[in-house]
Amino acid sequence: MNCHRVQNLLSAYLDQELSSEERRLVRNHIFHCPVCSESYEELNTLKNYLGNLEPPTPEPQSILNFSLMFPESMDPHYHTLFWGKRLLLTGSCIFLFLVTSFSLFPVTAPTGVARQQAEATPFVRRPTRSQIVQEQKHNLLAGSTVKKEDKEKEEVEIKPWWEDSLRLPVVPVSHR
Amino acid sequence: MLQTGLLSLARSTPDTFQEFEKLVKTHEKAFYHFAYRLTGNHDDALDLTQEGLLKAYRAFDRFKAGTAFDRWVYQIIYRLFIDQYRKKRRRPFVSSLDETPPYLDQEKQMEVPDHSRLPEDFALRHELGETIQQALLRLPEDFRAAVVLCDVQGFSYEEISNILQCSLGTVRSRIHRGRRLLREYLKPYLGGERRTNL
Repeated sequence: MNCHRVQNLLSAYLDQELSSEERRLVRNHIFHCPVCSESYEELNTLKNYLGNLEPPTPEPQSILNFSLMFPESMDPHYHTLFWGKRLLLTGSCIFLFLVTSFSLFPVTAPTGVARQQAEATPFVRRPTRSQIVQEQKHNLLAGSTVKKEDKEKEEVEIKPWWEDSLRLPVVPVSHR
Repeated sequence: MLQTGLLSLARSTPDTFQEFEKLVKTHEKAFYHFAYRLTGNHDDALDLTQEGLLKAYRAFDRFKAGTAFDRWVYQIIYRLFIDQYRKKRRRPFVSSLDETPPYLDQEKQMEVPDHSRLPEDFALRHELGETIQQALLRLPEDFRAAVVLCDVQGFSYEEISNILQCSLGTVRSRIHRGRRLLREYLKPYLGGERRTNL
């Protein structure tokens, strides 16, 4: 085992965190190598220093004092309820605002001229395509007097509704 | 506000708090010691310990009975410390006129060891304790936490890997590198008489 490897293992050796085989190898190396043995001594001293550090002197009461300072925050459920209440308050405020604003400014129906116009023109639904077709068929079958305009209509080829949407864009040859 | 306080006081179960208090009482000093070695001063250490314990109490229902309470709290304290450290780093640097500025750190390194007593006696002296604390503070946070947990608190590598939430290999390398740095910083105090004669 060379020095470099031992130097890397020294720390773990000191903490007795090596396997028995590694420990034996390191111990042998330290015994023969003065450099590594010095490093080991230094690390050992360092570990002793750190282990012998006197603990700071706290006032034991001051650490647990927070229970007296914030009694409400000591409750594990305090925070969820706290925010729940806030949310509820905000929600009710928004609801109240909406209710009052709708009651103050109701959605108004057209008044005056607009209303008169709206009443004057009754709502007529535009016939759908199928309705037109049905009517035309009905007219044909009846063979009744067909007006000129209706004849023109008849000649118009009735395309299925999807034909327009299925038409592909024409790509010029040069772009292909 | 007052009402919510009273309500919650009535609702909080006294058993939970007493159990928590009992657990904390046994490890209190160790927690504080750990926080002190991480932060380097009493005020920050007290803040860190209190905040950590408060967090631990809030999450106490998530603590699994049968697992080590102290390791769980150490983990919380360590995480809090790392978070605070990150926050602090974003704040502008405030320097004291009494302390030497950071660029003079190199000059401060010329320390003359006093070998009038045995090194073991030295460790108990406040002066050396202060020097070691300063050296610890110069380490990166990860290394500092690992070295403190190993050498000051006496945890095994496996326990440390639990607390720091990293692999055994990482713990080993952090402790190794941390100690190597500490050895450099504290060189004058480690050699003993042999070194001073050179």
